[in-house]
Amino acid sequence: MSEPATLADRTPLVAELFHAGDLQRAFSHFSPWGVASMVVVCAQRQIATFIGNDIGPIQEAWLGLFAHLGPAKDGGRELGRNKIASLNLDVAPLGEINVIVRPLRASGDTVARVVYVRTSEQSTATFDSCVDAVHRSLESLTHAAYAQWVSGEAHRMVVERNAVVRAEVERAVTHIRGIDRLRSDFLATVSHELRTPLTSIIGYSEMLLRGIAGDLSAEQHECVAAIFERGEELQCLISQMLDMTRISDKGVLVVTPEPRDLGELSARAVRTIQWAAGQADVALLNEIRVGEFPIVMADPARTQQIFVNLLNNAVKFSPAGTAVRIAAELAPRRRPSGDLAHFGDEERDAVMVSITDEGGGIPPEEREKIFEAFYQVDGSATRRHGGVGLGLSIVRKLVEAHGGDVWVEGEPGRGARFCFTFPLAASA
Amino acid sequence: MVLIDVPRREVTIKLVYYGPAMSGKTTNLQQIHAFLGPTTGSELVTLDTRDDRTLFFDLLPVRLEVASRLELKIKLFTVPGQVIHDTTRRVVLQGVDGIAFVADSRISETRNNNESFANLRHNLKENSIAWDDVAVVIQFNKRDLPKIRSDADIDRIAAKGSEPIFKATAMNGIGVLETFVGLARSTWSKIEGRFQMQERFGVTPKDFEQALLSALPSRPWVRGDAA
Repeated sequence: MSEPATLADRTPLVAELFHAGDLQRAFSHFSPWGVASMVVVCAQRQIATFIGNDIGPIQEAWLGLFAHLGPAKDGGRELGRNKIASLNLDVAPLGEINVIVRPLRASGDTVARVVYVRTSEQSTATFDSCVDAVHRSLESLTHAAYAQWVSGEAHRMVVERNAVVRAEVERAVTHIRGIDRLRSDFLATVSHELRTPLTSIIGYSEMLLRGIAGDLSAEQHECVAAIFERGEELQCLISQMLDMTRISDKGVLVVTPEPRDLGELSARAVRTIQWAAGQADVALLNEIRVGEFPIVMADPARTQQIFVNLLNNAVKFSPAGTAVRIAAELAPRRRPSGDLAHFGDEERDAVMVSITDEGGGIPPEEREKIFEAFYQVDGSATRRHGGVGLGLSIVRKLVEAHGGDVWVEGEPGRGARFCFTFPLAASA
Repeated sequence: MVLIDVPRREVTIKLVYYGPAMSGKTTNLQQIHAFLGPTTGSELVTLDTRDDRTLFFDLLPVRLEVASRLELKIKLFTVPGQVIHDTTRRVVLQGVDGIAFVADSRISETRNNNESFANLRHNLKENSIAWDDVAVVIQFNKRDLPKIRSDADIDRIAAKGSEPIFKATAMNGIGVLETFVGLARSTWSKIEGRFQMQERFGVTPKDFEQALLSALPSRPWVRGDAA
């Protein structure tokens, strides 16, 4: 199968543009005006079309003429520098005849030459103007035929490629569906099987802590408290995994954005995370004031999830005694494109929220990967901080479902700055 | 990639007008076609849909004779700007020698300009064409519309990159030939640098420019009968 590339750069053969019969019908009426014959000559010195009188007797002469012209195809010599040639040929049975040779072009290349023969009774001037008129019509036809040829070829290629691609896609989709069903079943079963005993572990350890089964010594209390807390953590992870399964099952996440004030949304998230931050001795500085920014389009429950995931992350990776800063500014909806922002700054049609911590930061080569599911920058950090690497991938899906963008900035070793945007209600 | 047929002393170069949808790529070619007039035998081929959106490409071949030593064919192409036609864009870009990036001057179109420019870089890479091997000029089109980037803004953008920048109102033919000549000039100098046309054919950049200008009307390049 030829590549479409060759289509733009390809020159069709004259036979791909016309049917000889069509030309014959279109131009046969010109013979009374002095054109005895009109011959379209294309590659390999073939004679494509004869029009007008029978020129059988002068076949020989044509062949001589072609030898004189050289091969015509693809912008051949074209009679040296002359685009149009007027020649007198000595042909045995007819004597001297007058011919005009003109190139026929498509896509800027010569696809053929046309040889016009003058009738002996016609004047040169009339013959010239007649040839001019005929050739112009022929050029228009060629032009239209070329456009049609490109469309036809493009269509053919698209259809061929579609068939191949469709077969591939169908195979892939069947395969993926199978895997996806297995995965969903697996996750659902595993989560269920994990949750059932976990509920008992959490429930019984809570009962023990409350002294329902009798008083515990200080040491016993500490042990049971550890069981209880780790159990809760495990439950949280399992719900996150289930959340991710639900998102992936639908493919595209459905959110219902409504006009909201960002200050209120961030304050609510900060209240949720306050306790965990206090435990880790990390200060939360929320600089977004209620009513400070224009109203954005946000699904409140989903926005809470975005904030909480990012804040949890920031708190988790912050050393004790540091602060996490939450700020916002008007910005373009898409992340800054750096060098590629050739055409100036984009319209600031969104609010960008940034969450900055003073932790280890994210190395540049990891900045895209951390938003992929189950990805962890540093495996050992997981053991220290917990988590399975789903939080950020959920965040990305949620932000993108809102029509925003999420990315991470910051120098490694000097903290990370997670940014995400929400489109302004006015621009949505 | 420039096509050099040494025995026939014939050179074909490929120039592509790139840019976001509706930025005026086809209009540029239509205007060049109108400027060249019917005498050059350069017929504009447009392949568009009923609503005038380019479907595959437009093609305007221009033939020049350079210093009686070289037959030069310049093939001007446009690509479809709509995002969905990315495959076609990549295909038309193959073997390109020079690119005119037609940007829409309106501030609201900045994102589309940036995205299309990034797409151009990406598609060149996909075609294994190094950015430094092609000539690129940028045209800020639609200078007659309200809410556009100011001249000072454009100067600042020009200072940031190395590509020559032209301002145009292609609908009225303003800046169209300046862009075309600028693109052809940049392209020739790239080709000269890579293929030594002066040594090979005895054709200097000046010869090239003279041949090009002789095919065009004399300045100022404004079309009185413009649409």
